[in-house]
Amino acid sequence: MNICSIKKEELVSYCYGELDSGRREEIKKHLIDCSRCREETQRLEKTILLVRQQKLKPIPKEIVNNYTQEIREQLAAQEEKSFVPALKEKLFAWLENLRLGFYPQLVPVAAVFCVLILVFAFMQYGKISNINLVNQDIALLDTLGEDADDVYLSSDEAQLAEEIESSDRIILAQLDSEVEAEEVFDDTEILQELGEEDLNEEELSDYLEIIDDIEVGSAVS
Amino acid sequence: MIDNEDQIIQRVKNGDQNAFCELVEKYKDKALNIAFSFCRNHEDAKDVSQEAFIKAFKTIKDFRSESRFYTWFYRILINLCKDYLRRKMKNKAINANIKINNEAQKEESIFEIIASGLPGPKEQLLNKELGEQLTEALDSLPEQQKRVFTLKNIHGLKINEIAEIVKCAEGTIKAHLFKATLNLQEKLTVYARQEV
Repeated sequence: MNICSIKKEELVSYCYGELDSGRREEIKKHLIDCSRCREETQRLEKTILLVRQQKLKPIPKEIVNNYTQEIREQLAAQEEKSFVPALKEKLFAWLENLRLGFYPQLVPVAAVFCVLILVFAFMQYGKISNINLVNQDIALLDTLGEDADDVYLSSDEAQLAEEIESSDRIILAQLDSEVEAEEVFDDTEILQELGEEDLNEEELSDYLEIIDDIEVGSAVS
Repeated sequence: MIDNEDQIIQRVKNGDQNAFCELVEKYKDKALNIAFSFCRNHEDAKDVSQEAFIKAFKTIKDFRSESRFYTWFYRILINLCKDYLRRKMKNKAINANIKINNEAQKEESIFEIIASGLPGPKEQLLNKELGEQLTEALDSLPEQQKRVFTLKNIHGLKINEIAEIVKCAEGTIKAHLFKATLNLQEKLTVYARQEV
């Protein structure tokens, strides 16, 4: 009994013509001698032929027509649709990153920072409004055509009040010193009249008290 | 020709839809036939094959030119056909108690029944019967055998290409082909004995 070394898979490849020419020739020779393999091959070939003789059902025209155009339209529609989800996805990713970067211990720091920004903004606003006031005054001067030094400016209000106050203080100080000087002068004059010019300070004050008493007394009388 | 296809694929990878439509035009008939051999309904075959093309466009960046474009594309198509059949089986199970007489729901034969052009009425009848019997015999095969046999004998792909598409070793494909052929032969003994 002959022992057949040919595998069934090789017979399949032989039937479909998918063997290299060398191996194909070897099997061809083998099939002459081996009746079992020959029969197997014939059965396979017959069935394959039976199937291959059948024609595939043709595709109806209405299926083929516009086939590519429909794909083109579907691609365009999907591209349009995918824009919004892509944007959404990006936004969510950004928010997620933000969430991951959130540290609760930084909340007080952020609060202080916000308060500082508000204070700074308030101060800046005051400056800006002063600048606006000066600008208004300059515009007024331009329209009047007068010299800026001779005209009272609303923006100088605070400075003007300060100047007035300081000049008042100077006048009062002058008045005080004048009154004092006059009193001393009067006292000196009285002393000169009394012929007591060379008195020392202590004696002078005693005299001045006496003079005061005399004046008070005369006023009473 | 293949170089040209490589250039087209490169354009598709850069998002060129017109280039992709060139590939669709080239492979649409094959794709429709393959899908039809699984779906047995032309409308469904159109939907599944179009879905496969759209999926191919979306994932073209994953395609590396180590294999041919069509083997890569047929793989997508076959997987979608498998999904389609799974859904169909589920629906069948749900509607098991409902008798559907709708003509559109009927499975069609994958072969063209040629009645004319044959010498006599006996031959014409035999041929018609053969087409129907062959379809039935194919349907009765285990899923993998049927898939491999169809790709080989109806769509004319090479064994190594089928191995690439169904992700199997070439030896396994040959074994499936051998078993499928023997199974069919048993079911078609009457016809196989005759000269068609």
